Amino acid sequence: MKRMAVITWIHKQLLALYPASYRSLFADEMEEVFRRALQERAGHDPLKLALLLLREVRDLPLSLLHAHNRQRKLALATQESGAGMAQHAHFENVALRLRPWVFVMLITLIVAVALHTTWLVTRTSYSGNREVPRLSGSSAIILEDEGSFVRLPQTALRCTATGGENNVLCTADVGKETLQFSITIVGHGSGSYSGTCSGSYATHPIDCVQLFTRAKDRSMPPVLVQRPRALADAQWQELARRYAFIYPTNEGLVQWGLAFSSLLSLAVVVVMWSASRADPGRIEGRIRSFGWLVGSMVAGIGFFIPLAWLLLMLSFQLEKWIERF
Amino acid sequence: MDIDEYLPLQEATTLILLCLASEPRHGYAILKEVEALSQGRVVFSTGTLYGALARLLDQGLVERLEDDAQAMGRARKVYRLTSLGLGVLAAETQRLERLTQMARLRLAGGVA
Repeated sequence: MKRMAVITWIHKQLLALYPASYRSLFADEMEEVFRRALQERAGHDPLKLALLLLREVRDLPLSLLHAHNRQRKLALATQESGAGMAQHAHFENVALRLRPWVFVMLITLIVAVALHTTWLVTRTSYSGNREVPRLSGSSAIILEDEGSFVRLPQTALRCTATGGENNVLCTADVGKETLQFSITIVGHGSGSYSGTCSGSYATHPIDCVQLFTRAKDRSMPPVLVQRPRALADAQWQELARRYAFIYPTNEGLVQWGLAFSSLLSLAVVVVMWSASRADPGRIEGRIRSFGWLVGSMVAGIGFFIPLAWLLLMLSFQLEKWIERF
Repeated sequence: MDIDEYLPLQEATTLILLCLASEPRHGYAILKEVEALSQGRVVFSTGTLYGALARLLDQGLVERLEDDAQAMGRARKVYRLTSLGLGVLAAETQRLERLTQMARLRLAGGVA
């Protein structure tokens, strides 16, 4: 029951995206129809419920576009009939014609987020990682930090077989501390290997994320390890300085680019949405007011910066979880 | 506006007009009736349904009325076909009939 109430509440909030006049005509009815459809499917097959929700989500962008386009046409028709409004027509036309573009931006944003997710999954599988081909066939430890890789050349490592040829213990002096790995390699034939790995640096345990399976060198395949949470920046930087083989990736650029475009899109959406919610009788005056426009933009950014930041942090965390599993 | 200018109707529009032909209906009843008429092939979301109804209202093919029987204290609206809507539906039905007839003849080899 609580779940139904939450879904109905979310649906009600989404109705706020429709233009004000459209809402005043249809919002109550749409809410009622959705509630009844939900009630009908709630007691039956969960698949039917899922289909209902998917249909609502799928059709929402286009329905919004149509509703705002209808609103724009009505507003333009009203405008053309009022001769006294002609002097302000330029500003109004610009605002009204911009509105569909806002939804194009919104759809672009959704696509960007979807692509971002695809990119995350591709990246975490490592098969698409551009760093891999360069390193395959060579022996190295790659320490992964957010957005950069540190490669330790094999010469820096002292590896010895322990408990059979497939168990290897490697150590390297890094600054005043010792980096240590215990690696177990399992051969799968056809020259591919996988394995498990655990290690420590300066008493901090290090999680090995993945052993590359394409490596030919059974004694020491390349290993991806993740920076321990507890490792201080200075220690990590010491590692990086000592084995300064850092490959910057485009990860940061993509994420910050996405954040910036999201922010910009959302800010514009807020401004235009505010405009569409405003009383049609007062909207002309408001749009003419540059101060109001800037104020709305600032308010939009002020609201969405923490939201975008939160989403970014969540996406980073999600990436880490995917990597772990 | 000439009735022919409304033709041909989209399938969704035809189905909505068709389910309003017999009696006025409220939103949820339209949703269910369209699903039944199309044998489950056309299922509207609320956004699509009200988008279509808004367009039909703008075109004057349907009208929106207060329902005498109120639901849970709320004034419920019903949608009814206007005379223009009825005319357009009749014209669309005739068009489809002609098309079907033509198709039958062609399939039977009656027309070269």
